[in-house]
Order: sequence, then C-alpha cells, then structure tokens
Amino acid sequence: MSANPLVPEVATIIDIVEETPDVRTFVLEPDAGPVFAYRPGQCAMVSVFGVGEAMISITSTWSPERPLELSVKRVGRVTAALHEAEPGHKVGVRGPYGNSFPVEEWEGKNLLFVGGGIGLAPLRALINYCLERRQSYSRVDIVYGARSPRDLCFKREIFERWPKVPGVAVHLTVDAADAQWQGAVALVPHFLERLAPSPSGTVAVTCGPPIMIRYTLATLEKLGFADEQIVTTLELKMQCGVGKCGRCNIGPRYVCLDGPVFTRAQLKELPQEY
Amino acid sequence: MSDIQARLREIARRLLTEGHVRVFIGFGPGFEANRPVPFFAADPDAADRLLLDEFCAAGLARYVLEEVREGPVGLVARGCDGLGLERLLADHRVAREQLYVVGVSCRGVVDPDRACAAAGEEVRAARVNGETVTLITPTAERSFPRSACLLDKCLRCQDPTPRIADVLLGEAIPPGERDLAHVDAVERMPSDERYRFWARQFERCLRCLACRQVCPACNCVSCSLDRPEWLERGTGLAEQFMFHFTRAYHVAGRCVACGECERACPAGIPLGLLNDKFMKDLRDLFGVAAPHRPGDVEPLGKFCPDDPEGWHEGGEGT
Amino acid sequence: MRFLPATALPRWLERLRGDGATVWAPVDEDGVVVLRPWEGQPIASRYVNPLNSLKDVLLPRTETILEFEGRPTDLAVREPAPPQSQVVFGTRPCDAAAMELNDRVFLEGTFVDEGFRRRRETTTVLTVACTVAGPHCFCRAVGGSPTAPRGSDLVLHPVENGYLPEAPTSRGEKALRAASDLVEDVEHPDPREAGRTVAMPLAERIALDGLAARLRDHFEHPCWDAISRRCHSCGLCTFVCPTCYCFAVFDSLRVTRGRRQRGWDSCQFKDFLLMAGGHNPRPTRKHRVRQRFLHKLCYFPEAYGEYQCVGCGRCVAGCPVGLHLPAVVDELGEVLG
Repeated sequence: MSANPLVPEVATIIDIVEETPDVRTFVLEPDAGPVFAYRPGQCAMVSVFGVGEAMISITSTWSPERPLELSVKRVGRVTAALHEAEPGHKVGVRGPYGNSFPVEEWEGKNLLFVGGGIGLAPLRALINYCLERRQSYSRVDIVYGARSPRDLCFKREIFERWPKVPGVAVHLTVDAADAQWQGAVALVPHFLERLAPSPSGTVAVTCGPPIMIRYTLATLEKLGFADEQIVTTLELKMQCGVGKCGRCNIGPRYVCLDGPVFTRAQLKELPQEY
Repeated sequence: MSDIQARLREIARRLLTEGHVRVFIGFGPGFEANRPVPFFAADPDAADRLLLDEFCAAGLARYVLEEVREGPVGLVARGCDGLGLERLLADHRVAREQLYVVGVSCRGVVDPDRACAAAGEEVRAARVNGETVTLITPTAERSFPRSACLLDKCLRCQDPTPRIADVLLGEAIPPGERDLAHVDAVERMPSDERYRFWARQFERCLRCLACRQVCPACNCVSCSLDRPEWLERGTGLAEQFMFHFTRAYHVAGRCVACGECERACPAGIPLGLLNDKFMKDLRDLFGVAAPHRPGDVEPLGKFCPDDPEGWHEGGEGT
Repeated sequence: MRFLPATALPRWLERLRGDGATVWAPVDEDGVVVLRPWEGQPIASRYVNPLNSLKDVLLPRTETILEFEGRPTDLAVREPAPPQSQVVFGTRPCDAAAMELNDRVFLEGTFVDEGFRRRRETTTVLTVACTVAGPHCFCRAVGGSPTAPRGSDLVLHPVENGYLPEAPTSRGEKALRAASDLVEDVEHPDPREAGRTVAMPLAERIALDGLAARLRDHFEHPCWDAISRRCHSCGLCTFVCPTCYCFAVFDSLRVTRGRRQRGWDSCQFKDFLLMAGGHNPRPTRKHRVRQRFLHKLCYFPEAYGEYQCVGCGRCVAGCPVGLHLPAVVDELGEVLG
C-alpha cells in the first residue's frame, strides 16, 4: 500500500448485482493483499481511472476473507462510469474512512432501523453486523421504503433472510405500488408513525434521502425518541476523504473524519449547512 | 463631484421610497477611504451612504444579473458601466424595464496605489482634469499626468458617458475613437517571440476566474470552461492557453472594453490587450467602427444567410 | 554576527542549485514579482510579497497523485517520482509562518498528507525579513512580525549592502554552510528588534479579540447577506492566500493513459460543494463568504488555537471589490460588537 493516502489500491470487480434499475452492488477484491478492515458505517473512496473518485458507504460487513461490497446509485459522472463497468474491470479503492456506528454502546438495546431507497446501503452493513451478533441486541425492527417495489434494494435480505431471524421484524413500504405489491403504500415517515415503535431502550438509526431524514427525525421526536437515541448519517461532497481537502466541513466538523455517523444531538450543535 | 453625489442620493432615495426599484447599486465607503466599494442601498435611508468620487473603481453592470432576480434595480452608471448594461440587454440577460440607470460622466478613476506612488504619500482626494490629475495628500496638492494616477482601463477609455441613462447627472462628454495602436507592438513580434510573451503571461495565471466573474460579457448561465469535457482541470500551459483563448474568443465582438478583467487580474495579465487585438481585427477586417459598443454590427455574433463569405452545406468554404 | 554581502547572493544560490536543488527566487516579470525557478536571472529586490506564495512551491497549483495506463481489465498504476529538493529564496516571514499553519492541517491528525510532507521535508525556506511594511500588510495583528523566524529555515535580515543571516533550523544552517567562504563576521545589534518598530498602520485597525466566539454564536446573523453581496464568487482571495489550502482531485485520460491530479480549488466557486444529483449545501454567496471567514476566524482557531491568517495582505491588494479579511473583520466588528 502506498504511503500516500490519496493513492488507491487497484481492485477487480468480481461480481455486479443489479439491485434496482439504478442501483448496483459491486463486489471488489483488491489485487494485492486482503481487504482493509472496516466497521459498519464506514466508507470507501472508489474510483474509475480516468473519470474520478466517489465516496461510497460500504455495504458489506468485514471479515478477513470476505470481498468488499459497495452499492452504488447512478447519479453523477463517477457512478455512471461504474455502472458501465463489467466484472473483470479494475477500479481503485481506498479507505476505510469516517467514524462508524457505535455498535458496542448499543449492546442489549432494541434497534430500530429506518431506511429509504439507497439509504439502506450503509444500514445493510450495520444490520448484518448486528444480526451476526444477534445475542448482543434485543428486538430489531427494520423499516424500509422506496419509491416503488422495484426500487427496493437488497431484495433477498429484506424479503427472505432478515425476516427469518428470530426477533427481527421487517416492515416494508413503497411510495407507489405496482400490480403485484401487497404491502404498505406510504411514505416512510408516515409509515413509521403508524408502526409507532416504543422509544424505551431503543436506538433509532435512519439513512435515506435528505427530505426523508428530515420528516423521519420529526416523526421520531413525536414518538418520544430523545436526540441522543437518534442516529443518522450525512453525505457531503468529498475529494480526499482524509480531512485535508477542506471540502466536507459542517462548521468545525469534517464529515469524512468526524462523520458520517452523527446523533441528532450532535447535529443540533452544528450549523444547518448540509 | 459632491453636487452630483448629493443629487444621486436624492434620486436613489426617491426611487427606493416610491418603490420603483428594490435596490440601488452604487458605491459606499470601503475599509480604506480611497477605496470605496460597491454598495447596495436597499432602503431609502441607505441612499445617504452612497458616495461617488474619483476612487470608485469597480464596474457595477455585472451585479445587475444577480440583483434583477428579486425585482427592478437602480444603479449609477459611468460610460463603462453603461456599455456593460448594454451588453446584458443585447444578450437578453436583463430587460430594460428592470433597470433605472442614473448616468454620470467619468473622466477616469484614480488608482490609489499608483497615485500614492506618484505623490509619495497617502492620497486623500483627487480631481481629474483634462490631461492632469490633482492629488490631495495630507501635506500638499499637486498635479500629475493622467498616466501616473489613473487605472489602466481608464487611460484608453473613450466612453465617458453612458448611452442608456434614464437620467444623466452633469454634462455629457462625447465619445471618442478608441486607440488600438498598442496592439501593433504585439502583432509585429515574430511568432515565436509572441508565443513566449503570451506563455509568460498565462503561466502566471492562478485560474482564480476573477476575469470571468467581473466581466459583463461573461454572462452565460453556465460556462463551458467549468466543464472538464471542454477544458481539463489543471494549470499546465496547454490548459492556460485553452482557458484564455476560449474566453477571449467567447467575448470577441461582445467585449465592451470596460477593462474590469485586467483590473481584477492579480497576476497582471494584459487581458485588455488580448481583447483589443480582437477589436482591431473586427475594425480592420469587418469594418466595425466601435466593436465594443453593443448594437453595432456584430460580425462574430450573428449569422446572416447572405454572408459575403458564403455558406456551404457540409462546411466546405469557398 | 555573520554577514552575507548582497553581491555574494547569486554565487551562493548558484551553489545551492549546483547541489541538485530547484532554487526559487522572486523575479520581476512584466512588472509583477513572481516566485520562479531561478536560473540566474536578476532577483527582484523591491517587493512586499510575490504574487505567488510558498504555497505554490509546497502545495503546487496542480500535482500528480498517480499515473495509469492500460485497458479497464489490465491496468498499471504508478506513483510519480518523489519531488526534488528545493530552496526558496526571498520568501517573507508571513509566508513562512503560513506554511506552519498548513503543517497543522497536512501533517497532523489521523492521516498525513504525503505529497505535502515530502515537499515540506525537502524544501529549505530562506526568508528575507521585512524592513518596511506594505500598505496592505498586517502580520502584527495576527501574531506575526516583519522579522519573525517562524516557518523559516534561514532568516536573512537586510542591512546595508547585505544580510545578517539567522538560522533557526539545521536545514538553514546547512544552506548557509554553502556560503561559508562568502560570509563575514560583523558586530551588529539583534536585527530582530528592528521588526518591532516597522510601521504597520493597517495592523492597528484590526481587532480580533474574542471574534471566534462571537462568530460561532451568530452563524445566522443577517450581516453576512450585506457583507457578501458585493462578492463576485471568484477565487482570487483564496488562491493568493498562503494559508488557504483547499484542493480538488481530478482525472484526465488520453485513450489508454491518464493521470490523477490534485489542484487548488476555492470555497468561493459556486460549484465547490455541488453534489452529483444537484444538491448544493452552500448555494449562495452568503454561504460561501461566511464559510471562508468562519474557516479562518472560527473553525481553524477552534481546531488549532490560532487564526488562519498571517496578514500577508494579498487579499487586501487583490480583491477587486474590497472584500478582504481586514474589511470583513471591520464590518463584523461593527455589527457583532
């Protein structure tokens, strides 16, 4: 590995999973040596050589032999180039970056995950981490929504794997149903309000588009969750990922170093500029 | 100018009081007395802070682009500001009825650094006369030639009075013919020497984009020079040439010779010289008498089916 | 005390260059004083500060991070050769101090910026102390001085016909050894003292006490609308500033060969924070101007205990609309008290 933190390792795309029409999961293996160790919530800077870099939250949970998984929505130049890539293509990857979810602090508690769209990507790493240590946590509720049924990510997990785990409930909703959809049709914050999970002994973790986060935070507050019980992740433009390029600050904090995971209490200390 | 300043305040106050304009753009006191800064009077009382003196350097036309979004704008305009406004009007970036233009004639703006160097001490005030400038320092009042006191952009100016004022304060000064002789020296250089000259200039460029951001002709909603598919990022000489030539071509025939690009450039790149080369070509090759005054023939800005050069499908020229 | 005659300067620099180092020196180019790789051309003597600061040498406008070549399935990536050693002559004490501020950012914390570190460790800074302050100088208001050694390897105090060298670091001492036969011994009072008496009227007009806390408490103060209104959103202030360090990373590609570079970027550009998908957390001039001044006057002091400004005056001289640090501090002082 280079001494220069801006120099990525070269990795090979070994598999691509089409999650939704605009989200793909890229399974990567570094060409030299094992994947760096990482914790749930951390991110990796992935690059398409000749196009550029993008900070992506890591979707897999770390173990020494497991490849790195990044679920990427097609939004900009780099992600579009990634979506053009095929298995066997080389990409750059460096990391891990950012803090992570304080999973040790949550031991013994109920976990409430609230995700929207591609926001389930960082949550997936966290959920799988917690489910791999099922005995350490109490009740687990996963609330997840997307624009339409076909926009739901990680279908095998949300429909098959997670609901089978004892003490885990998966609650799915869509903004607009299709002919086959039997489940709830509601925006995530409204759906959450109806589910009315108890704040007692619970940590709520929410990731999704900014507008969903905003209303979800309001709903959680209405349900009685204190600011310290609510955890979310932020996304801001980044260039270096290592606290040098001066890009991703919110007030005195850098999202790449001090985030992306923040409690609502921490966010309230920061200027509303994200 | 104090009488004109008083009338300016009065007009601005009236426009703001009666709601004709939402904001009046002029100059207000800066951190240093001889460096007034652009000032935005948004209420009638603020009009009393407007000032107008020989040190008001910045061009104001460019501000109109942003300010008209919220409603009609009043502003004080010298000849260069007026041409900048004409540019924005000709490019359909603002509408005439969104503007109330208070015109003033300008005999040139004093560069405080240059004047200070000439006078040998702090210059408190100045009077621009015909061929001389009187500088008033704490100890003396002395006259100097214009070239020792004024901003470069003002030395070549032949447009003291705006052409589109709704009201003109003071007397109009008739426009003159711009002297483009300074282009000759560069044209006469052998090509390799000329290349070295421009390479040296552009190598200093920090790519801060001040030239573009102050330019009334650079009024595009989005600029190709921000797009990596048109101009690779990086500051190698190739990119520097690409940047400056692209910009010069994009404002060729549209530049109003306000000189703001050159004034703003921290690296002292003679951008006005580059623009004037195009002016000279427009004058000599296309017969446009004053290419910097919008509204004249715009040979590079207009397609004519009866172009004397002809037009051939598929790009084959005559 | 040692004395280096001014006439010996070119010979000394020539020797330093002979050791394989790139020597930078201020040269007058079309009336603009610029730090340039020196190859024997006349060295400018009458300047306050060159157009480009030490930043241009230690954090270049563009710098290659890596080069790559090949097809998507078979790609070779390599890092460029490490930078050559450099000697910078004629930098001012403010610029040298600025690099110590940049050290905090690039060398401290979880990650070390390798590109900056390598250049920093192979660069010798030969500062020429100031005997006069320019009209835009205010180093004293931000803890500096016209003769301060901070960040310099060698400070050359100008006296009649030459310099009194002072070597705060072993690197500076080593550079001076190349001039050992050119240096004479003289009796002279401490030349640093001269820095105290240099007149600097601008510095006396800047009151920074307690500003960081007031700025933090008034993030949403409407004064930012008024202050930022004249800003044209160019990057002049940030690019001439020796302490502004923000950069962007970008790729270029020619068929099968390309490189990744980093280059200066400015928080004043409107697309600085524009994200793929269109969200821009700082969409207006108000957001961006506030960011610049809060970074310098609030966030940086919170992180490192000092303001992110060395008073070099380049923003004062350069901003086409007078929106520079002293002016903004002044305007803030009026509204925030």
